[in-house]
Amino acid sequence: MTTDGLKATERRAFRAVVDTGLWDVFLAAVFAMLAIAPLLSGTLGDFWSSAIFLPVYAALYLALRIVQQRVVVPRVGQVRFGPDRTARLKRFTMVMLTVNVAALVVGLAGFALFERITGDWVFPVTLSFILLIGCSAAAHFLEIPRLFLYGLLLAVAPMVGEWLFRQGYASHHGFPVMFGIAAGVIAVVGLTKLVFVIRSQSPIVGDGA
Amino acid sequence: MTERSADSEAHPLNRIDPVIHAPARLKVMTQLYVVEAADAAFLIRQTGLTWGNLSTHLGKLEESGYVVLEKGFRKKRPYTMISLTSEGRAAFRAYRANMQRALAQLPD
Repeated sequence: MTTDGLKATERRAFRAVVDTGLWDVFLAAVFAMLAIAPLLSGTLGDFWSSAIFLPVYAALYLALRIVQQRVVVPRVGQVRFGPDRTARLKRFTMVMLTVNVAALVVGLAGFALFERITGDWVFPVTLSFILLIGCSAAAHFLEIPRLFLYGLLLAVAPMVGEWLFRQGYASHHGFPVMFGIAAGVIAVVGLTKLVFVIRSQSPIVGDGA
Repeated sequence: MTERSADSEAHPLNRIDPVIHAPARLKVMTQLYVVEAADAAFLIRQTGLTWGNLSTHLGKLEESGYVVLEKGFRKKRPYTMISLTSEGRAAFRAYRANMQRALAQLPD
């Protein structure tokens, strides 16, 4: 058995446990906020139209944890990964933290410099770039190529949305329609994967090894 | 020890560990080698063994000192995590090396 063969076995083990579709559903929910929040901002204001999603995320996260424990784990099992994978996940966390902090700094700097940058192309282009970097980093570190496609889908959303908005085809800079479509696609992929895991693998019952 | 038996001892095929060489145990050892620890459900799913089979083979591996079973409770639910011992990891590395040498010596 070659080292490449063992690496592939480790990768399969990681994906069998982590890539069950649950995280896709959570990701879809995160981006659904970008679709729904602009529609609520007229009635709730900019802050509350986003803040209202925090308890929704908390509830969804808890629900997904319960599904993970009660439905997924009895089917796919549990694994503690070795030092290489743990180091890779730590690097991924650091990269995502850096990308998010950079996004925050760019956002704040943008508002400070341009006061309102949403009317310009700077905002959609920057957001596209950040989404592409974030999803590509996730795809690379988690070794799940599907995330590259999510990155492309999400990166296209702000720019096409802005174009649709300028042509008069969409409201709110095209966020509701474009991020709605992206979140919908990701949710469908995630749910399909989750249903496949549930239907193709019955729970393993036993009295312990 | 005669020269012939010394040669035969030196042949990599004669140094293959029979505990690991059984296909079911090789599958289990391979899965455990690439992770730190896994539960029985994961091993069953990845190896295609049944509970009974897995239990028998884990018993054999445990007897040889290659695996260790860690039993406990998480949120009032029992769990068993299985991992390779350092002896088990060393045995698997030696098995790989011997197999690679043995296969490399075969004629085309």
